Amino acid sequence: MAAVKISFIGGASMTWMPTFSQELLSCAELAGSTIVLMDIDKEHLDVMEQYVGRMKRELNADVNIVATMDRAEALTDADFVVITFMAGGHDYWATDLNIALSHGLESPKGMSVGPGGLLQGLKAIPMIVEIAEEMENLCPEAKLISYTNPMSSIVLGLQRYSTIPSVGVCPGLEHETVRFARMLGVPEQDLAVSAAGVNHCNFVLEILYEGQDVLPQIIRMLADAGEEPASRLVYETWGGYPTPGDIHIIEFFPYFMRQGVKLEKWGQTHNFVENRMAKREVFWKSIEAAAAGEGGMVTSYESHEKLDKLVCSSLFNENRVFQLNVMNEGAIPNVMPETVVELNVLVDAYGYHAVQFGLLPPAIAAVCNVAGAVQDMTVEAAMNGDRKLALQALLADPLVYSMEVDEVGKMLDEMLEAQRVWLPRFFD
Amino acid sequence: MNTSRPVRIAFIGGASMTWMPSFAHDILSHKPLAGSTLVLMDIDVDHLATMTKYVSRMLKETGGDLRVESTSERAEALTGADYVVTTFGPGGHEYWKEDVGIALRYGIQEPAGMSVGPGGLMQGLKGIPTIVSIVQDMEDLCPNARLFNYTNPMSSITLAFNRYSTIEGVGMCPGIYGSIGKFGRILDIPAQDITYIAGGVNHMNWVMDASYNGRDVLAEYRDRLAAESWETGEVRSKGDWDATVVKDKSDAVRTSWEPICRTLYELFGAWPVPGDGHTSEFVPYFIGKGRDIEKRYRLSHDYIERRIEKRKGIWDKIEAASEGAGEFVRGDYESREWVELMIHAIEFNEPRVVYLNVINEGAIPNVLPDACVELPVVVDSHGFHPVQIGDLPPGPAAITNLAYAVQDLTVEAAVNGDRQLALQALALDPLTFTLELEETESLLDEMLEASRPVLPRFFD
Repeated sequence: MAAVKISFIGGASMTWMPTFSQELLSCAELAGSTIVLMDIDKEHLDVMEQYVGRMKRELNADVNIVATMDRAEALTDADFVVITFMAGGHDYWATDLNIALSHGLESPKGMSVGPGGLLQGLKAIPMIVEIAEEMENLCPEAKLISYTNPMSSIVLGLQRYSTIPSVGVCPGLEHETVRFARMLGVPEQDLAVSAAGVNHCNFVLEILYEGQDVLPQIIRMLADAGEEPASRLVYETWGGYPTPGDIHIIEFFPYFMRQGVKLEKWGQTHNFVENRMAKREVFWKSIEAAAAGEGGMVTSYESHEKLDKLVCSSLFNENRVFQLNVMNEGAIPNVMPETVVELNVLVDAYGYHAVQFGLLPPAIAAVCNVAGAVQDMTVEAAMNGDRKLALQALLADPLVYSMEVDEVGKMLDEMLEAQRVWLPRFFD
Repeated sequence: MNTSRPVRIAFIGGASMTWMPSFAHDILSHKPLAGSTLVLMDIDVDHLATMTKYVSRMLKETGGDLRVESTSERAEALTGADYVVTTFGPGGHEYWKEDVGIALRYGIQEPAGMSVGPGGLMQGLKGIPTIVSIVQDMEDLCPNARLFNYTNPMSSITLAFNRYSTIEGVGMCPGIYGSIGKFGRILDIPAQDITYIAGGVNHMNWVMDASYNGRDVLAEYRDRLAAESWETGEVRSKGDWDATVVKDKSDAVRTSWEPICRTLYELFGAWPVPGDGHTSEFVPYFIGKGRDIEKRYRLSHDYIERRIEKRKGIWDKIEAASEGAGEFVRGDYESREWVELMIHAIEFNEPRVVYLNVINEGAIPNVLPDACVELPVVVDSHGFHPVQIGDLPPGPAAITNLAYAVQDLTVEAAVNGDRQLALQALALDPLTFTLELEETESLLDEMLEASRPVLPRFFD
């Protein structure tokens, strides 16, 4: 057992907090620990504090819950800092995607790459690097775990600009594995998945079940159901099945999404964030009700985030392996060393150790290297408030390959202007 | 070492009208290589006979101390060679024209079509098995010989022979020297006094800095080109890929305009060489489906047809000269191929820095180690030593790494006759990024079918 301090920056997050609090409060090894919810949104923070408080009572958990708007208080002497906020919020995200749409670019998701991912990165990277810098003073031994998008470039920014050990976590591949297990009617834990790539375009090369590769069977089942046509086309062409789903992976290839092409062809629609926001309001109402003791607790996701196991594997040197986002540094030899990749990572008391994956098929490595170039320029543009680098990052992105250079520049300027309030490094 | 041994230099593609007149002239004029033997090998016996006569006549008239041999047997040419120079044209011009014509029907307008894109891929699929079988022969017949490759697609051919043999060799393209010469001409400064550093891939090589007496050559060149109203100038005549001839408003005829290279320079801060016709093929923005490249950039997509036409005239002159009538020709280019100077550097251990195509292996840290890159290389008796030039700016590094992915897949597709890998190569090429994946696939199949007779590994 260990009594530790785990602080959430973005502690009122309705996407993550219900799941995380359930995971951590159910974990007996963490008895005596403190969970700190830090957020700048007082109203939501109060509700989330009550919600987590009710969960503590229901689970009879021996954990202290603290809510604060003071980031320094949350960070001081923390053992783990978990980043769950969304830079700029949904309103501003909607603005970016709508500007891209006005230039003929639909985004099914718009949070990893493309115009939406770039602008989220420009907003979030300096904020999160500043948190890590503060950690160097207030909790230099702590580990940082980021759930915020764009996953890859945020982790690259952290690795490049801070000495704090950090890692990025996305449950995407876990969710897909559960889905595949259900399709096959076998237990999830019996599937051995070999996968590597970048977050939201992570390539499954093989799935072993009782020693047999069942990936071809899964692909056939998806084909019969007419599901994930873009991912299957990538698999047929390049030999790796990209996850987690068409909605994400489409954004990494120029064939599916470009100016003037309708996502409808691939069974997708533009991500109208306004619609998401309406759904979120409904979801928040149920959290509010639960916090007030009415109705049951909510489930935002099935619990595949495994934050409890990730924390315990570090604390108790459990040597567990997770799919995480870390610096490549040779784990995939044909992907540039300074690319943030998503692959198996051993977590022990010493830290996060990427497990050598070996070569990816060459075309797949190339997709990762293009993504790596976008990560690299996004981070430098964000940290230096450099419009020219931001333009280079956008132009290196497959989503704009069919556009004129001038128009890409114009689209970027419109987005920067719209996000001015969140981009002090570009405008101050 | 200050005395040379007589060396044996074998030219595979020795009837090449593009290269042979220049090489013969350069080597004949280079006195320290006296006593050496030139072996012209070609499978086209008619052209070979004419070219041999041509070189022999040049030898006689200049009183040069060289021997000339000719053969259509490759093994005979390679046996005992000290240097092998490859100048063959993969599959010949007619199939090349066919491939690029098919791509045009899909909306891809390649101004050069010899490096990347549909044209470059197909030339690679034809040329790579040939180069690999040449180097494998060399391992038996002249294992210590060094190879100078001049055949396109430069990068994937050079990658292929490095990957599939132990023979030491490099790829040489005079393009970068042509561009430095162009900077000198336009700015009216001596090109040989311009100091510069460049790195990238062949036909998309980034000049990161160029200076002359403390002057910023790249910025001045940009300003000089921007100062002219090229847009209003009329197209005077169509030149080759890097030299569209435009008459500007002051009625001066210029062979440089470069709207695409200028845009890339503004964007990335490095100047891509050797010119719009080549550099436009490495990025997706300029020459994709639906763009009017003629009107906007004064580029044309009929380069190969014009080249075929032009070659007829050149060959007529070579034939006449071989019979003792008229002047010697000098091929397509000024002599800056430097084969005689590289052989000299090796034979006399006089280290010389030459821009060559080699495997990166860390010389540019932010480019993949296995990539074939073009950068300064020290040539001496021990061989070819790439110069560590440091990181490229991130944008050019990204473009270079993507070009490597295409090289890599092109080589493996060609060696294994693997359609799927060829499709992967084409699908990763920026020139197809304006196509649907299904279109890319049927484009490939049409080209493979059209070039079937010169693609035995794909169809046998």
